Amino acid sequence: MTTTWLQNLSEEDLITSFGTIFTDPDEEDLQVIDRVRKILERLPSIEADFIDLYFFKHIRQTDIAAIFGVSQPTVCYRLQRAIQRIKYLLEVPKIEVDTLRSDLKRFFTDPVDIEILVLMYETTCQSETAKRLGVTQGFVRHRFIRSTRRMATNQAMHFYGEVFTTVSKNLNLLREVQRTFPTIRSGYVLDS
Amino acid sequence: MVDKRDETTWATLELTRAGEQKAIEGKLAESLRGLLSVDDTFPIFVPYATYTKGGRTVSVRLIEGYAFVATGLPEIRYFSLEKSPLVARVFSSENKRGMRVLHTLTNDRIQGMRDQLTESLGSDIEVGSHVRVIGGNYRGLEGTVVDLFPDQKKVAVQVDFRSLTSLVVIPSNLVVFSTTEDTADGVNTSPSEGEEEMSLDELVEGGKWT
Repeated sequence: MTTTWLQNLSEEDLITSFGTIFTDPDEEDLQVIDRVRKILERLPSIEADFIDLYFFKHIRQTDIAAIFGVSQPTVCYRLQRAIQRIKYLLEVPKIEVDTLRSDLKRFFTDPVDIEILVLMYETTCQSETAKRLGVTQGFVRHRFIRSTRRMATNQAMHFYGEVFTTVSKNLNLLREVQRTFPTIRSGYVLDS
Repeated sequence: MVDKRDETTWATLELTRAGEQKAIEGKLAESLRGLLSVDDTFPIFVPYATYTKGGRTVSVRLIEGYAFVATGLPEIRYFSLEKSPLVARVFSSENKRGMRVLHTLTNDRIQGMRDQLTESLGSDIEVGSHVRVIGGNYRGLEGTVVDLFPDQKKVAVQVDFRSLTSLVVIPSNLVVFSTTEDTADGVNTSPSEGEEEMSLDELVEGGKWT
Protein backbone atom coordinates (compact mmCIF):
# COMPACT_ATOMS: atom_id res chain seq x y z
CA MET A 1 0.00 0.00 0.00
CA THR A 2 2.71 2.45 1.02
CA THR A 3 4.63 1.55 -2.13
CA THR A 4 1.60 2.13 -4.38
CA TRP A 5 0.86 5.45 -2.74
CA LEU A 6 4.50 6.50 -2.97
CA GLN A 7 4.66 5.55 -6.64
CA ASN A 8 1.49 7.50 -7.33
CA LEU A 9 2.86 10.71 -5.85
CA SER A 10 2.80 13.14 -8.74
CA GLU A 11 5.84 15.41 -8.95
CA GLU A 12 3.69 17.99 -10.73
CA ASP A 13 1.12 18.18 -7.98
CA LEU A 14 2.95 16.76 -5.00
CA ILE A 15 0.82 18.39 -2.30
CA THR A 16 -2.51 17.21 -3.70
CA SER A 17 -1.33 13.67 -4.40
CA PHE A 18 0.31 13.44 -0.97
CA GLY A 19 -2.98 14.56 0.61
CA THR A 20 -5.01 11.72 -0.90
CA ILE A 21 -4.40 9.44 2.08
CA PHE A 22 -5.80 12.08 4.42
CA THR A 23 -9.13 12.20 2.57
CA ASP A 24 -11.50 9.52 3.80
CA PRO A 25 -8.62 7.28 4.94
CA ASP A 26 -9.11 3.52 5.10
CA GLU A 27 -7.30 1.20 7.50
CA GLU A 28 -4.16 1.02 5.33
CA ASP A 29 -4.10 4.79 4.86
CA LEU A 30 -4.23 5.19 8.63
CA GLN A 31 -1.15 3.01 8.96
CA VAL A 32 0.72 5.16 6.44
CA ILE A 33 -0.47 8.31 8.22
CA ASP A 34 0.89 6.90 11.46
CA ARG A 35 4.27 6.32 9.80
CA VAL A 36 4.24 9.86 8.40
CA ARG A 37 3.44 11.23 11.86
CA LYS A 38 6.51 9.47 13.29
CA ILE A 39 8.74 10.70 10.46
CA LEU A 40 7.81 14.34 11.22
CA GLU A 41 10.31 14.32 14.08
CA ARG A 42 13.10 13.72 11.55
CA LEU A 43 12.22 16.76 9.45
CA PRO A 44 13.36 20.35 9.98
CA SER A 45 11.01 21.63 12.67
CA ILE A 46 9.36 24.30 10.52
CA GLU A 47 8.56 21.76 7.80
CA ALA A 48 7.17 19.38 10.41
CA ASP A 49 4.96 22.22 11.63
CA PHE A 50 3.73 22.97 8.13
CA ILE A 51 2.92 19.30 7.40
CA ASP A 52 1.20 18.94 10.77
CA LEU A 53 -0.89 22.08 10.30
CA TYR A 54 -1.78 21.58 6.63
CA PHE A 55 -2.46 17.85 6.44
CA PHE A 56 -3.27 16.83 10.02
CA LYS A 57 -5.05 19.96 11.28
CA HIS A 58 -6.44 21.15 7.92
CA ILE A 59 -5.20 24.74 8.29
CA ARG A 60 -5.06 26.68 5.01
CA GLN A 61 -1.71 27.68 3.52
CA THR A 62 -2.63 31.37 3.78
CA ASP A 63 -3.38 30.95 7.49
CA ILE A 64 -0.12 29.06 8.07
CA ALA A 65 1.69 31.87 6.26
CA ALA A 66 0.03 34.48 8.50
CA ILE A 67 0.86 32.54 11.69
CA PHE A 68 4.53 32.07 10.77
CA GLY A 69 5.00 35.48 9.17
CA VAL A 70 6.04 34.09 5.79
CA SER A 71 4.46 34.21 2.34
CA GLN A 72 2.02 31.60 1.05
CA PRO A 73 4.46 30.53 -1.72
CA THR A 74 7.07 29.90 0.99
CA VAL A 75 4.62 27.63 2.79
CA CYS A 76 3.88 25.85 -0.49
CA TYR A 77 7.59 25.38 -1.28
CA ARG A 78 8.39 24.08 2.21
CA LEU A 79 5.45 21.67 2.06
CA GLN A 80 6.73 20.28 -1.23
CA ARG A 81 10.25 19.96 0.13
CA ALA A 82 8.93 18.26 3.26
CA ILE A 83 6.92 15.78 1.21
CA GLN A 84 10.02 14.90 -0.82
CA ARG A 85 11.89 14.26 2.42
CA ILE A 86 9.02 12.18 3.83
CA LYS A 87 8.85 10.17 0.60
CA TYR A 88 12.57 9.45 0.86
CA LEU A 89 12.37 8.53 4.55
CA LEU A 90 9.49 6.15 3.83
CA GLU A 91 11.42 4.52 0.99
CA VAL A 92 14.68 4.02 2.85
CA PRO A 93 14.46 1.48 5.67
CA LYS A 94 15.20 2.80 9.15
CA ILE A 95 18.45 1.20 10.24
CA GLU A 96 20.12 1.81 13.58
CA VAL A 97 23.57 3.28 13.02
CA ASP A 98 25.23 0.64 15.21
CA THR A 99 23.58 -2.12 13.18
CA LEU A 100 24.56 -0.45 9.93
CA ARG A 101 28.16 0.00 11.01
CA SER A 102 28.40 -3.58 12.25
CA ASP A 103 26.92 -5.01 9.01
CA LEU A 104 29.22 -2.90 6.85
CA LYS A 105 32.28 -4.03 8.85
CA ARG A 106 31.68 -7.57 7.62
CA PHE A 107 32.06 -6.45 4.02
CA PHE A 108 34.41 -3.47 4.01
CA THR A 109 37.90 -3.48 5.43
CA ASP A 110 38.67 0.23 5.22
CA PRO A 111 37.05 2.08 8.15
CA VAL A 112 36.88 5.25 6.05
CA ASP A 113 34.54 3.54 3.57
CA ILE A 114 32.32 2.48 6.46
CA GLU A 115 32.19 5.97 7.98
CA ILE A 116 31.44 7.55 4.61
CA LEU A 117 28.51 5.18 4.11
CA VAL A 118 27.19 5.72 7.63
CA LEU A 119 27.36 9.50 7.31
CA MET A 120 25.86 9.47 3.82
CA TYR A 121 23.00 7.35 5.18
CA GLU A 122 22.45 9.87 7.96
CA THR A 123 22.82 13.07 5.97
CA THR A 124 22.58 12.24 2.22
CA CYS A 125 25.08 15.07 1.89
CA GLN A 126 28.57 14.61 0.45
CA SER A 127 29.86 17.99 1.60
CA GLU A 128 28.64 17.44 5.16
CA THR A 129 30.23 13.98 5.20
CA ALA A 130 33.49 15.39 3.84
CA LYS A 131 33.44 18.15 6.45
CA ARG A 132 32.88 15.76 9.34
CA LEU A 133 35.62 13.39 8.18
CA GLY A 134 38.07 16.13 7.22
CA VAL A 135 38.46 14.93 3.63
CA THR A 136 37.54 16.39 0.25
CA GLN A 137 34.09 16.13 -1.26
CA GLY A 138 35.60 14.46 -4.34
CA PHE A 139 37.11 11.76 -2.15
CA VAL A 140 33.74 11.12 -0.48
CA ARG A 141 32.00 10.98 -3.84
CA HIS A 142 34.54 8.52 -5.30
CA ARG A 143 34.46 6.19 -2.29
CA PHE A 144 30.67 6.36 -1.94
CA ILE A 145 30.05 5.44 -5.59
CA ARG A 146 32.63 2.67 -5.49
CA SER A 147 31.20 1.15 -2.28
CA THR A 148 27.61 1.35 -3.51
CA ARG A 149 28.54 -0.43 -6.76
CA ARG A 150 30.36 -3.15 -4.86
CA MET A 151 27.37 -3.80 -2.62
CA ALA A 152 24.90 -3.76 -5.51
CA THR A 153 26.79 -6.53 -7.30
CA ASN A 154 27.21 -8.71 -4.24
CA GLN A 155 24.36 -11.05 -3.34
CA ALA A 156 25.08 -10.92 0.39
CA MET A 157 24.98 -7.11 0.41
CA HIS A 158 22.08 -6.73 -2.02
CA PHE A 159 19.84 -5.13 0.64
CA TYR A 160 22.39 -2.44 1.45
CA GLY A 161 23.11 -2.05 -2.26
CA GLU A 162 19.49 -0.98 -2.76
CA VAL A 163 19.51 1.25 0.30
CA PHE A 164 22.58 3.18 -0.85
CA THR A 165 21.40 3.31 -4.45
CA THR A 166 18.32 5.11 -3.13
CA VAL A 167 20.56 7.41 -1.08
CA SER A 168 22.61 8.20 -4.19
CA LYS A 169 19.43 9.14 -6.07
CA ASN A 170 18.43 11.57 -3.34
CA LEU A 171 21.66 13.39 -2.59
CA ASN A 172 21.28 16.45 -0.36
CA LEU A 173 17.62 15.72 0.31
CA LEU A 174 18.06 15.69 4.08
CA ARG A 175 20.27 18.77 4.11
CA GLU A 176 18.54 21.67 5.77
CA VAL A 177 19.20 25.02 4.21
CA GLN A 178 19.45 27.38 7.15
CA ARG A 179 17.07 30.29 6.90
CA THR A 180 16.30 32.84 9.55
CA PHE A 181 12.80 31.97 10.63
CA PRO A 182 11.89 33.47 14.01
CA THR A 183 11.42 31.00 16.86
CA ILE A 184 9.07 33.28 18.74
CA ARG A 185 6.70 35.88 17.42
CA SER A 186 7.15 38.36 20.18
CA GLY A 187 4.56 40.90 21.11
CA TYR A 188 1.00 40.15 20.34
CA VAL A 189 -0.21 39.34 16.89
CA LEU A 190 -3.72 40.60 16.44
CA ASP A 191 -5.96 38.06 14.82
CA SER A 192 -9.46 38.67 13.44
CA MET B 1 -26.81 35.31 0.49
CA VAL B 2 -27.68 31.66 0.91
CA ASP B 3 -31.24 30.72 0.09
CA LYS B 4 -32.92 29.46 3.26
CA ARG B 5 -33.85 26.29 1.40
CA ASP B 6 -30.16 25.56 0.78
CA GLU B 7 -29.12 25.86 4.43
CA THR B 8 -28.11 22.78 6.35
CA THR B 9 -30.86 21.14 8.37
CA TRP B 10 -30.26 18.78 11.22
CA ALA B 11 -31.63 15.43 12.35
CA THR B 12 -32.12 14.90 16.08
CA LEU B 13 -30.90 11.76 17.82
CA GLU B 14 -32.05 10.63 21.24
CA LEU B 15 -29.11 8.95 22.91
CA THR B 16 -28.97 5.76 24.94
CA ARG B 17 -27.09 5.68 28.23
CA ALA B 18 -24.04 4.43 26.33
CA GLY B 19 -24.45 7.28 23.84
CA GLU B 20 -24.58 9.84 26.64
CA GLN B 21 -21.45 8.39 28.16
CA LYS B 22 -19.68 8.73 24.81
CA ALA B 23 -20.89 12.35 24.62
CA ILE B 24 -19.47 13.09 28.07
CA GLU B 25 -16.17 11.54 27.04
CA GLY B 26 -16.12 13.72 23.92
CA LYS B 27 -16.08 10.69 21.61
CA LEU B 28 -19.67 10.61 20.37
CA ALA B 29 -19.19 12.64 17.18
CA GLU B 30 -16.32 10.40 16.10
CA SER B 31 -18.39 7.27 16.78
CA LEU B 32 -21.42 8.61 14.90
CA ARG B 33 -19.27 9.52 11.91
CA GLY B 34 -17.95 5.98 11.92
CA LEU B 35 -21.48 4.54 12.04
CA LEU B 36 -22.58 6.84 9.22
CA SER B 37 -19.41 6.15 7.20
CA VAL B 38 -18.69 9.84 6.71
CA ASP B 39 -15.40 11.71 7.02
CA ASP B 40 -14.38 13.87 9.95
CA THR B 41 -15.66 17.07 8.34
CA PHE B 42 -19.29 15.91 8.29
CA PRO B 43 -21.20 18.25 10.64
CA ILE B 44 -22.32 16.74 13.93
CA PHE B 45 -23.23 18.82 16.98
CA VAL B 46 -23.04 17.25 20.42
CA PRO B 47 -24.17 19.86 22.97
CA TYR B 48 -21.78 18.61 25.65
CA ALA B 49 -18.41 19.95 26.67
CA THR B 50 -16.04 18.95 29.40
CA TYR B 51 -12.93 20.79 30.45
CA THR B 52 -10.52 20.96 33.34
CA LYS B 53 -10.16 24.04 35.47
CA GLY B 54 -7.90 24.29 38.48
CA GLY B 55 -7.42 20.54 38.46
CA ARG B 56 -11.17 19.89 38.53
CA THR B 57 -13.26 18.64 35.68
CA VAL B 58 -16.21 20.74 34.68
CA SER B 59 -18.95 19.34 32.51
CA VAL B 60 -21.33 21.56 30.57
CA ARG B 61 -24.35 19.85 29.09
CA LEU B 62 -26.51 22.29 27.26
CA ILE B 63 -29.12 19.67 26.57
CA GLU B 64 -28.80 16.20 27.92
CA GLY B 65 -29.47 13.04 25.96
CA TYR B 66 -29.50 14.42 22.43
CA ALA B 67 -27.16 14.94 19.52
CA PHE B 68 -27.67 16.52 16.12
CA VAL B 69 -26.45 15.34 12.73
CA ALA B 70 -26.55 17.35 9.50
CA THR B 71 -28.93 15.97 6.90
CA GLY B 72 -27.96 15.22 3.33
CA LEU B 73 -27.38 11.49 3.51
CA PRO B 74 -30.02 8.94 2.52
CA GLU B 75 -32.57 8.88 5.36
CA ILE B 76 -32.14 5.15 5.85
CA ARG B 77 -28.60 5.79 7.06
CA TYR B 78 -29.88 7.98 9.88
CA PHE B 79 -32.51 5.41 10.89
CA SER B 80 -29.89 2.66 10.84
CA LEU B 81 -28.25 4.45 13.78
CA GLU B 82 -31.08 3.08 15.95
CA LYS B 83 -29.50 -0.35 15.56
CA SER B 84 -26.36 0.90 17.28
CA PRO B 85 -26.01 0.85 21.08
CA LEU B 86 -25.54 4.65 21.09
CA VAL B 87 -28.83 5.89 19.65
CA ALA B 88 -32.25 5.14 21.15
CA ARG B 89 -34.21 6.77 18.36
CA VAL B 90 -34.04 9.19 15.50
CA PHE B 91 -36.80 11.82 15.57
CA SER B 92 -39.21 11.17 12.73
CA SER B 93 -42.85 10.98 11.76
CA GLU B 94 -44.91 9.24 9.11
CA ASN B 95 -45.91 11.03 5.96
CA LYS B 96 -49.26 10.69 4.19
CA ARG B 97 -48.14 7.53 2.48
CA GLY B 98 -47.11 5.98 5.76
CA MET B 99 -43.42 6.33 5.11
CA ARG B 100 -41.08 7.29 7.88
CA VAL B 101 -39.46 10.70 7.34
CA LEU B 102 -36.84 12.59 9.35
CA HIS B 103 -37.82 15.49 11.56
CA THR B 104 -35.34 18.28 11.01
CA LEU B 105 -34.17 21.37 12.87
CA THR B 106 -33.09 24.53 11.08
CA ASN B 107 -29.49 25.61 11.09
CA ASP B 108 -30.44 28.72 13.08
CA ARG B 109 -31.59 26.53 15.96
CA ILE B 110 -28.34 24.61 16.00
CA GLN B 111 -26.32 27.81 15.71
CA GLY B 112 -28.25 29.20 18.67
CA MET B 113 -27.31 26.15 20.72
CA ARG B 114 -23.69 26.42 19.62
CA ASP B 115 -23.59 30.06 20.66
CA GLN B 116 -25.07 29.25 24.05
CA LEU B 117 -22.55 26.50 24.61
CA THR B 118 -19.68 28.75 23.54
CA GLU B 119 -20.91 31.47 25.88
CA SER B 120 -21.17 29.02 28.78
CA LEU B 121 -17.62 27.86 28.17
CA GLY B 122 -16.12 31.27 27.43
CA SER B 123 -17.34 32.98 30.60
CA ASP B 124 -15.05 30.83 32.71
CA ILE B 125 -11.82 31.36 30.81
CA GLU B 126 -8.90 32.64 32.86
CA VAL B 127 -5.11 32.93 32.59
CA GLY B 128 -3.71 29.41 32.27
CA SER B 129 -6.82 27.95 30.68
CA HIS B 130 -6.17 25.51 27.86
CA VAL B 131 -8.31 26.70 24.98
CA ARG B 132 -9.12 26.01 21.37
CA VAL B 133 -9.39 28.84 18.83
CA ILE B 134 -12.58 28.67 16.77
CA GLY B 135 -12.06 31.54 14.31
CA GLY B 136 -9.43 33.50 12.38
CA ASN B 137 -6.03 32.30 11.18
CA TYR B 138 -5.60 30.13 14.27
CA ARG B 139 -8.93 28.35 13.89
CA GLY B 140 -8.73 24.76 15.14
CA LEU B 141 -5.47 25.28 17.05
CA GLU B 142 -5.03 25.02 20.79
CA GLY B 143 -3.06 27.08 23.22
CA THR B 144 -2.86 28.53 26.70
CA VAL B 145 -4.40 31.83 27.79
CA VAL B 146 -1.61 34.12 29.00
CA ASP B 147 -3.48 37.40 29.40
CA LEU B 148 -7.01 38.78 29.55
CA PHE B 149 -8.25 42.09 28.20
CA PRO B 150 -11.81 42.21 29.54
CA ASP B 151 -12.39 45.83 28.45
CA GLN B 152 -11.64 44.94 24.86
CA LYS B 153 -13.27 41.51 25.17
CA LYS B 154 -10.04 39.91 24.02
CA VAL B 155 -7.64 37.28 25.30
CA ALA B 156 -3.97 36.62 24.59
CA VAL B 157 -3.23 33.02 23.74
CA GLN B 158 0.14 31.31 23.49
CA VAL B 159 0.25 28.65 20.79
CA ASP B 160 3.31 26.38 20.73
CA PHE B 161 4.60 24.78 17.58
CA ARG B 162 7.81 22.80 17.07
CA SER B 163 9.63 25.74 15.51
CA LEU B 164 7.74 28.70 16.91
CA THR B 165 5.97 30.03 19.95
CA SER B 166 3.25 32.42 18.89
CA LEU B 167 1.37 34.91 21.02
CA VAL B 168 -1.89 36.05 19.55
CA VAL B 169 -4.64 38.37 20.76
CA ILE B 170 -8.05 37.06 19.85
CA PRO B 171 -11.61 38.22 20.54
CA SER B 172 -12.89 36.31 23.58
CA ASN B 173 -15.77 34.83 21.62
CA LEU B 174 -13.31 33.05 19.33
CA VAL B 175 -11.83 30.82 22.03
CA VAL B 176 -13.44 27.95 23.90
CA PHE B 177 -12.13 25.53 26.45
CA SER B 178 -10.51 22.45 24.99
CA THR B 179 -12.90 19.61 25.60
CA THR B 180 -12.19 16.05 26.66
CA GLU B 181 -11.94 15.06 23.03
CA ASP B 182 -8.71 16.98 22.86
CA THR B 183 -7.41 16.45 26.37
CA ALA B 184 -8.62 12.93 26.95
CA ASP B 185 -5.86 11.79 29.29
CA GLY B 186 -7.21 10.90 32.69
CA VAL B 187 -10.30 13.07 32.63
CA ASN B 188 -13.10 12.21 34.99
CA THR B 189 -16.38 13.91 34.31
CA SER B 190 -18.22 15.41 37.21
CA PRO B 191 -21.58 16.65 36.05
CA SER B 192 -22.31 18.27 39.37
CA GLU B 193 -20.24 21.37 38.66
CA GLY B 194 -20.84 23.90 35.98
CA GLU B 195 -23.75 22.18 34.36
CA GLU B 196 -26.08 24.34 32.40
CA GLU B 197 -28.81 22.18 31.15
CA MET B 198 -31.80 23.02 29.01
CA SER B 199 -34.66 20.94 27.78
CA LEU B 200 -35.05 20.13 24.12
CA ASP B 201 -38.43 21.85 24.20
CA GLU B 202 -36.85 25.12 25.36
CA LEU B 203 -34.42 25.00 22.52
CA VAL B 204 -36.91 24.27 19.78
CA GLU B 205 -39.61 26.62 20.97
CA GLY B 206 -42.00 24.38 22.76
CA GLY B 207 -41.14 21.34 20.73
CA LYS B 208 -42.15 22.88 17.47
CA TRP B 209 -40.26 21.03 14.80
CA THR B 210 -39.46 22.43 11.40
